[in-house]
Amino acid sequence: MNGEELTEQETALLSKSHILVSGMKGAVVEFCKNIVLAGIGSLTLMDDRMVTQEALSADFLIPPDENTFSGRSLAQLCCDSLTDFNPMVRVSVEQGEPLLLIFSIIRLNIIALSFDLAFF
Amino acid sequence: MDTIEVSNLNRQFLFRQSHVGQSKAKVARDAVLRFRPHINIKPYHANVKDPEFNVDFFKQFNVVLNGLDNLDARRHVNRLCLAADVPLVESGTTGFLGQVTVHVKGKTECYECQPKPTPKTYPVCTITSTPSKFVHCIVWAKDLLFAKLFGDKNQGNDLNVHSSNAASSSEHVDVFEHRVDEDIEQYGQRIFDHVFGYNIEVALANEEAWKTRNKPKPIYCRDVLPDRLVSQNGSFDKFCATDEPSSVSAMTSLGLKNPQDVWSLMENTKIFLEALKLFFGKREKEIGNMIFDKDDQLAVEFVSAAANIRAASFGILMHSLFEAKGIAGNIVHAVATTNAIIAGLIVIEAIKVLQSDTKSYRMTYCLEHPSRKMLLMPVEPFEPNQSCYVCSETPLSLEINTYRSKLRDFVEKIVKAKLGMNMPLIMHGSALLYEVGDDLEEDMVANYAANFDKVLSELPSPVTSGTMLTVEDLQQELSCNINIKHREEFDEEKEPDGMLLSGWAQAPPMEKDNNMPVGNGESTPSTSQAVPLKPEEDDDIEIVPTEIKTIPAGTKRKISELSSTAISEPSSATDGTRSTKKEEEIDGDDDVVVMLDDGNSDISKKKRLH
Repeated sequence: MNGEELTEQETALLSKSHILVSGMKGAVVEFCKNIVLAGIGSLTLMDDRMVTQEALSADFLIPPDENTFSGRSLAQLCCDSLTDFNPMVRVSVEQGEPLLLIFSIIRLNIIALSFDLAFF
Repeated sequence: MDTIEVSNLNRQFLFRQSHVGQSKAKVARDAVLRFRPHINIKPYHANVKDPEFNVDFFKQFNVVLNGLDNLDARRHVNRLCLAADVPLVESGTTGFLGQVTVHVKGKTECYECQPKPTPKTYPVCTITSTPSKFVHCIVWAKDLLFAKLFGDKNQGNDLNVHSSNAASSSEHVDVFEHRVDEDIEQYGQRIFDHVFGYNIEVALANEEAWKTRNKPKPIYCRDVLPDRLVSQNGSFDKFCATDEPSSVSAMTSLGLKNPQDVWSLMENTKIFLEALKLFFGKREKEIGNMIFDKDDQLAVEFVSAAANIRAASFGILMHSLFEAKGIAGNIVHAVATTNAIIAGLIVIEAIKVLQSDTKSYRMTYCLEHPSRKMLLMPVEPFEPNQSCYVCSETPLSLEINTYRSKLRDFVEKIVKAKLGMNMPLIMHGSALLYEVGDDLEEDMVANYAANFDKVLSELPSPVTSGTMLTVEDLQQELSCNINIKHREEFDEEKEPDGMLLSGWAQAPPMEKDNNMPVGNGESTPSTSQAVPLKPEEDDDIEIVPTEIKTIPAGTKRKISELSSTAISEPSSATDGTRSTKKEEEIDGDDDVVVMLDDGNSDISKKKRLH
């Protein structure tokens, strides 16, 4: 693939892939948007943190209305928005704090077994 | 003025499937309001070149952000911003490349100070007689054959190869005309044999041309499809009477499903004949005023097949429909991430402008491959170009044959095409030679029409060597003086227009894979001599939420409105922080580090702005 349109086989490959995303920050959110619009098979979000002011300004997937977002984690909010972008992608939420790279190598192996790609 | 198409949905995330067909400006506005309810957005579904958007209109704004997809409109907006003295943030993307530039009158270069690459054009004889690349075959199929068969009959066309036989060139019978009651299949085969068989034989007769080149092979229908009968009435029964004209397809009726397959000569021939048949059978009304549209499936099929057959004849590799479509439509596939990066940079520059932080203005170039681990290359803006005719009012010079060239040629090829003027006014001293406008008196209109077709030296106020013409566009508030110099001969290959404009910096023709700032999709009206490719970006540049869209002059899309947004002061407390936000949208990841004051070696020749 070199920036051209996806072939049928590539689209099929994409739609069979499952991705784990941990830590809904700026660039990660952008990635999620792109991969969902492109038509990934399924996406699992992992970020139990609550909405902060910083997150509100940087993350376009969070609805600005306080009543909507209060009490729900970043992962849950992003999940709703992403489902809206492309209803054909299964977006789900996994409980857990965003993983820190060094600390989580052991946990990574266990979780990552069920995914094709893990993104932190 | 664009509407939402299905192909936009994979990256223009403000739009949903239910919005297809609606105005981009209006839907984008509604979508943005949903996550930022307290801003003031006014959508205009219109063409930015409409007279409604005059200097006074532009003066309302503190900054203008461009997300246009053609050079013509960009130049127009540039001139209006100069006239209104409003800073302009320009931008563009093509594939993995992109750039954002800031233009402030008097302080920095204007958008036109540096020459922009013009679309690649090919010499006429390469297209008509000696193609050596597949793209030459595409241009032939699209701008010559397709235009001849389905386009405006009155347009001059170089399709018939010049033969040495004087008698045949004065034929009154148009070979390409579909004769009344002629069976379509027979017509198709006749056309096929003429362009791929007869014309090639004629070309072969010219021995000189082939001394250093491979000779083409004539191809006749009977050789490729020996069993094909003339009357094939049966094929029409396959279609039901309610077939939508726009969904008619030769591929479908022939069972060729994959647009990425490279077809054989036989398959291409079948597609050629089938497509021709379908045009005449199902879309007859359009014949005579069709322009090639890359989104017209049947047109793409016809052009691809024709190009492939010609390629086969000249020993050039054939291509799949998908590849041919890309070349014919000048499609450069958009990369969502590039657009996102550029969009972010636009906002960053816009914030600097709103804060009048002039020292921080940057021209930022997004590279395809990181250079020294950096993907983005910011440089300080340059001072205005003293010889830029747009912002510095330098006179230009034009060499032209004043006894042969008409005013019409001057207006179309120089004033509109090269100078980018929309509604020009041409004066010789105090004499008005030509004018475009809505409120002109009848006798003036008649006068201009008469002048239009006159040779320059025979105008009421004769134009000869040494004359100075003044050319103006009132809407753009641009005035330009041109010194005319008479010249007898022009090189047909290098100066096919028969004119040479100087003092106007022109860049060399753009190659498909060079590194100059890109994304300046251009459109030029096609001239009858050089045969230019008309680049169009397949996927519109998405700059959200401040989007001003327009279409190039002369394309077939409907004229509708444009969108502009005026970011007024945030009125509510919750949004109070927006105008002072300094965080970059690209999160604090390590990967992208923007280093300042580190320019390219060639750019460092220019003076930096301090």
